[in-house]
Amino acid sequence: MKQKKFGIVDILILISLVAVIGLGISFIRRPEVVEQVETKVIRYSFEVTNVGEEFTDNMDIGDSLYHSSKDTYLGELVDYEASPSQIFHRDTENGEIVIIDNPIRIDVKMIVEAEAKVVGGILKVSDEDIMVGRGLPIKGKGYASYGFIVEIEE
Amino acid sequence: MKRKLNWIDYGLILLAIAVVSILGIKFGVNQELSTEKELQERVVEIEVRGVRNYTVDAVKEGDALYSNDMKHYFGEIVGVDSKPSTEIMITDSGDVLEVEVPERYILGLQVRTDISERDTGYYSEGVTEIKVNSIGSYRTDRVQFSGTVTSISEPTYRTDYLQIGEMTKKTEE
Repeated sequence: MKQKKFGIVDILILISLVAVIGLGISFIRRPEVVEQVETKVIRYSFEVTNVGEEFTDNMDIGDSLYHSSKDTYLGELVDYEASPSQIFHRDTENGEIVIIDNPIRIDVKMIVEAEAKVVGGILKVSDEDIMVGRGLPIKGKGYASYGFIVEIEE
Repeated sequence: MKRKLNWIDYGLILLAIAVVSILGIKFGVNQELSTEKELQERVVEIEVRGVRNYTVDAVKEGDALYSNDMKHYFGEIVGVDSKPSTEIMITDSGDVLEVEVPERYILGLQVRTDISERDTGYYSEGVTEIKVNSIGSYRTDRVQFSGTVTSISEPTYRTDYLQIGEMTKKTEE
């Protein structure tokens, strides 16, 4: 029986095999990148506008607050203040815009305390970015609303 | 005796051709990209209208600004100013007036960025396309907002900028 000789194709196969094995080893031995995560307790103000007074009637200091759709924890309610909702009135007679208090609706500024992770410079509570201007659907035990983060204290 | 090629050999040859073609295409694309001019320093002005004092207070000079749409670094905020926000009103007498909106502000940002110029436009840090009058979503580490690019210009603050050492040297002279 005649012995087969090594051809160019066999060499190509060998090179491919070595390359695949090399890539596999380098992938397995790749060092894991461990990002340093700092945690800190923060307080952020969360503003809900144009709600009825029944909103705060159901609110208690110490309430746990959650993301309305994800059910993730967003912090503890440590304080809140209510003020009349604002109506921007375009006074076309005198040529000015004036703010008038809404007699039946209120704005509520909720102060929330939470332990935040600092990831890449951004504050995160349960993976939610905590930054001014960020809108979130938030809920307590017996109330819920959509609002915006307006202030952050670190 | 010469060995005949079988279907596995043909498959490998096709694979090799495919790899070479892909590399060729990639090389071609890279060559196209390499026609970009070098990054140039520019100051981009962004106007954020109708925001409250919370947003104005949360933006600081020296903050890094990111494009919220593209999730990329945009540049460094080198200037911040604010003024009352305005709207156009037609009064009962038919006059067209620009009137102030109480408790609302126009936030003006100057952002130092390195842009690359291509035939299709200017790209901040080579990634985020910037055009005057384009609206984008931006963020720093502590605040997010939408704003409109109002100008792209060469930095002027550098001409009289001196390092601390240079300032001392100049004073001694």
